[in-house]
Amino acid sequence: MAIKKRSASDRARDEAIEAFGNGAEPLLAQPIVGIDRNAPVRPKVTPELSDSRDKGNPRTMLLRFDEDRELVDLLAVVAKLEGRKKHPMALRALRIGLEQVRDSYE
Amino acid sequence: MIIVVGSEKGGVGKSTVVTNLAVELAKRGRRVAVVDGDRQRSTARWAVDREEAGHQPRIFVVEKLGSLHETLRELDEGYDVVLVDVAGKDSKEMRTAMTAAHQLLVLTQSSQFDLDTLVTVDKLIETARDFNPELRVRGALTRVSTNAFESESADAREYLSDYPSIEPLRTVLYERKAYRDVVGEGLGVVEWKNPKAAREIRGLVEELMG
Repeated sequence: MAIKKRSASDRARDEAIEAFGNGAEPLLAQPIVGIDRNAPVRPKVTPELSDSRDKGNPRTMLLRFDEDRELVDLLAVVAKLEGRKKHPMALRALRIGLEQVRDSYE
Repeated sequence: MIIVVGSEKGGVGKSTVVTNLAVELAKRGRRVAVVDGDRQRSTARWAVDREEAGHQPRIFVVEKLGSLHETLRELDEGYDVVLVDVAGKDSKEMRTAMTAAHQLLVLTQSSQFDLDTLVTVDKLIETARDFNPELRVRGALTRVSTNAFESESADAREYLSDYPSIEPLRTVLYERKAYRDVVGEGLGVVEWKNPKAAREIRGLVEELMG
């Protein structure tokens, strides 16, 4: 068996790879201590961030129509009336609908 | 060539893809080694079933947990293709395998939960490339509904395009019973009776090896 000689830079690289690997699952690797299970749960305050995506909001969303064929047909009809493709039409309709719901609470 | 099949979420079909790729590559005459780096041992169990059933070609499977970097480099010297199956989460096995691999195949289902994990994978790729700048990352959709009406696949592709570090593959793996049927038999779908599933795996091999 050939014996490999390891240089200092090889060792440093190996150690860096090991450290990168050890960075996985930090929550599982560390014991959970000092948690008072009876303490009241407070909502976490998230600092304001400039990019909406950074707040945990998705940039895209998959919609499943399931059995609601009526909604599918309605989307097709309205998209045709407005001369839009279905995706931009769905986004526009979603905005109009959400704004109406929000306004109903004001 | 070392190919790591990974994801940040379970249930996307990593072991299914690894075992099927292994069979197809071996049938093409490639010397294939499979490393099972997942504590669930799905691939290792499949290999035992295959061996007990006496199916040919035989697939060499080794189980290894912890750091995979050195193991993969050594196996790469003796085999044409080394396939790596890791757990569906951020793990030491996945990270260290990425530092040695030629390719990372990121599998994702076309669901919001799965696609949202790409943020984490993207960050891991960036760090892994500090060690392994040549790492090529490809993305494939798995378990896609065969219902032609659903546009999930197209939506998911659009989502994937937000991650330029991941090259989307043309091959899509659909949710087919054949993939489940062959597992217990220790077989791959290219040895089974569903030509559509077999075509998908052959397409995947062509793209990965091309």
